[in-house]
Amino acid sequence: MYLRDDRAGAKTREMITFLVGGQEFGIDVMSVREIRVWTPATPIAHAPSFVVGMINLRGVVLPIVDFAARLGFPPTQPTSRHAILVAEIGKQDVGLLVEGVSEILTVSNEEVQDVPNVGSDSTREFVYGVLAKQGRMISLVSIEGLSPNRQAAA
Amino acid sequence: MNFDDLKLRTKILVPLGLMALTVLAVIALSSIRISSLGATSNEIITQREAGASELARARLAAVYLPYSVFAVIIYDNDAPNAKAASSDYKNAIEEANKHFDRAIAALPDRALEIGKFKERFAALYERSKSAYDIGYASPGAIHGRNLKPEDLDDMAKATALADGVDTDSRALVNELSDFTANISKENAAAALQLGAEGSETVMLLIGVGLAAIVIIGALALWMVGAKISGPLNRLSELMKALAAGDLNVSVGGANRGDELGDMARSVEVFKQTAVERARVEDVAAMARASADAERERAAADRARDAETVATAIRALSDGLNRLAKGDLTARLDQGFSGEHVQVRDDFNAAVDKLSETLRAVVTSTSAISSGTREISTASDDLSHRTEQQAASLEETAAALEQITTTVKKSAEGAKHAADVVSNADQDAKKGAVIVKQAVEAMDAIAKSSGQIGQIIGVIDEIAFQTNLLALNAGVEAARAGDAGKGFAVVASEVRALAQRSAEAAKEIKGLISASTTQVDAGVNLVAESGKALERIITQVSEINRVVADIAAGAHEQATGLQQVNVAISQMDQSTQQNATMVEESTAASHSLTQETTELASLVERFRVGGGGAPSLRRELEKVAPHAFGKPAAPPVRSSAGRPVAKPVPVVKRAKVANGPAADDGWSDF
Repeated sequence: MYLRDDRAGAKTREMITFLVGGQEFGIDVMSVREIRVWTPATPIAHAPSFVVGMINLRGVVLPIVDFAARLGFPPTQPTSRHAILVAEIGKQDVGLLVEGVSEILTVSNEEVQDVPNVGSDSTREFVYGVLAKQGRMISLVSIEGLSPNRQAAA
Repeated sequence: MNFDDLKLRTKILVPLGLMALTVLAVIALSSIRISSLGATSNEIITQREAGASELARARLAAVYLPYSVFAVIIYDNDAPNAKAASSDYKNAIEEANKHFDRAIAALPDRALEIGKFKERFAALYERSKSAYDIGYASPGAIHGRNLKPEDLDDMAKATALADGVDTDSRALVNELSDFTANISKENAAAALQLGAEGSETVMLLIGVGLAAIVIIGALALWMVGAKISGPLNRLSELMKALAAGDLNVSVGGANRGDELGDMARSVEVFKQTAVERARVEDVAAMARASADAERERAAADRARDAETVATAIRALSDGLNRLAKGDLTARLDQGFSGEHVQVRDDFNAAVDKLSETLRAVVTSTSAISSGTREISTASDDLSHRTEQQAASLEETAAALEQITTTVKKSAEGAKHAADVVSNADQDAKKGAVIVKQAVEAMDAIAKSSGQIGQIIGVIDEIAFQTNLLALNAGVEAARAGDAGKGFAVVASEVRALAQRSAEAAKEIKGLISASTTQVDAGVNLVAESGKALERIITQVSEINRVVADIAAGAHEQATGLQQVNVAISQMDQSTQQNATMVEESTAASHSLTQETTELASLVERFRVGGGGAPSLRRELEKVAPHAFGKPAAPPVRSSAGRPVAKPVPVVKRAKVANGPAADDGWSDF
């Protein structure tokens, strides 16, 4: 577990939070390469349902994953106000379609709480902790779980 | 031309004309003679007598001349007599000459002799001058012995001179006296001759007039006797003979041309007519004789017929007598023969018909009585109703007055309402204009809001992009580790600013949105109020129309009221007429009742045969009981008697009985 190890090594870390399906999620800022405004994507043949399509990012083809659909929520209807988080998952860059990027938080390890055990391994596979801060509930998402390849493998 | 052919007028006028000519001739002759006599007498009186008197005056001067000379000698010059004598003497010559000249002028045939007298007097006067001068110089004899001897000598000398003068003067005076007497004598002779001439003229005129009267009278007598009276007498005799029936006389003088000829011709015509009439009368006399014989035959026939007729008439008279007594059972059966049987049959038939008619009359009388009762009842009802109608008319008039007042008020109200509505209409139109302006202002606000919204969108977009850039910067700073910490702070600050501006933009957007919504609402509301105002305008015009209708309605009501007034007036008149008619009909029904009674009593006098009398009487008693002296049944009497008296109150109330005053009584309506 990369993140756990990483957390064990440092006292604090930077988390970038975003909105999907009305919920607030957070991922480690180190795995984010950049944030872009939504641009229409070209659909990919026989791609999983949560893969919206692909875009041209400075000459590189970037697959776009619908974060809400990936988490089992209803698919997002993208607008110009939606954003794409370009994240580095493994060695591959993947665009995550989100409703909006909120902020960059500095989070200490003590603040992160475990995910309640709801009897589902899949949940634990995506969300590794919950940050309850200032009346907000931020789910911390493991970026590796979001890879399209993993879903395809699963 | 024959003298007989002249008209009678001409015949009468001829002697009259001759008479007139004679009178004219006498008048002319006497005029000439009288004017000649007048001229002669005039000459005698004015000329010759005047000349004689002038000579007498000249003689007086000759008488006084010696006296004056002696007076001057004897009297003192201062004595009055001496002064008068002196004055006479001085004037004597002028006086005498004047009279002599006048005498010469009056008696030109004696001018020579008078001239001689004049010269002698002048010479005498010359001779007397010396005596006068001496006498004038000497004092008067009054001085007596005081006179001087020279004076006495002068006086003697003057006296001697005067003596000669006196002697000549006396001779002159005597001759003048003779001469004057001579002239007077001539004048008397001339006057005498004048009188003789006058007598002669009178005699001449009397002679001429008498001659003319005799001649003309004879002519007139001949004219009237022979030419007018004679033929007239002959005609008169002729006409007397004709009148006496002597038609054999012959009419003379028919060929004359004057009126007598006309008369003669007319008499001839009379004679011819009389001859014709005598012939006709002869014919008529024969006709009359035959007619007399015929008449005598007819008289005999008539005497025969008269007997038969007398018998029939006696029988008829008997029957008619019974009939006159009311016996309708009378029938004729005897005393008729021949053509008079028809009369008998006709009489019997007539009596039968009369009986039948009387029965019918009784029946009709019953019906009339019943009808009279009904009429009386109806009259009663009618009078009641007329009374009620009069009361109703009064109430109607009062109600009508109230209605008139109300209508007047409503008309005034309608007028006021029309004014108010007019103001409201103007205000509403002004309001519509304001609403239009408000809508335009609202549209402008909405437009501005849209533009602000667009700007805010741009700002929001910029804020969004800035936020993303700040996030990317933050990501880059985080990835840079400790080296990027300061940059991360800056990025965070930038991101916060972007966030704030985004929030502000959002707020503004929200505000703008709300403002737009409100503006829209305001626009809608203003549009609504505009529509409402339009509706108000429409309704106001509707109200205007309605108010006009109300005003027109009020006017029509007024007109209608006028008509109602007229109608009520007519109803009033009708009511009055009804009242009059009720009175009349009541009186008529009363009169009808009386007539029915009279009829019943009349019919009762008849005796109808065949046992009909009792039933007829019974029927009559039923119909008109008062005719038989019995007390009448109350209901009949009341119904027959009431209408007579009852309508009077109605009439009084309506004042119909007062004639013209009735109009005043009802004019309140």
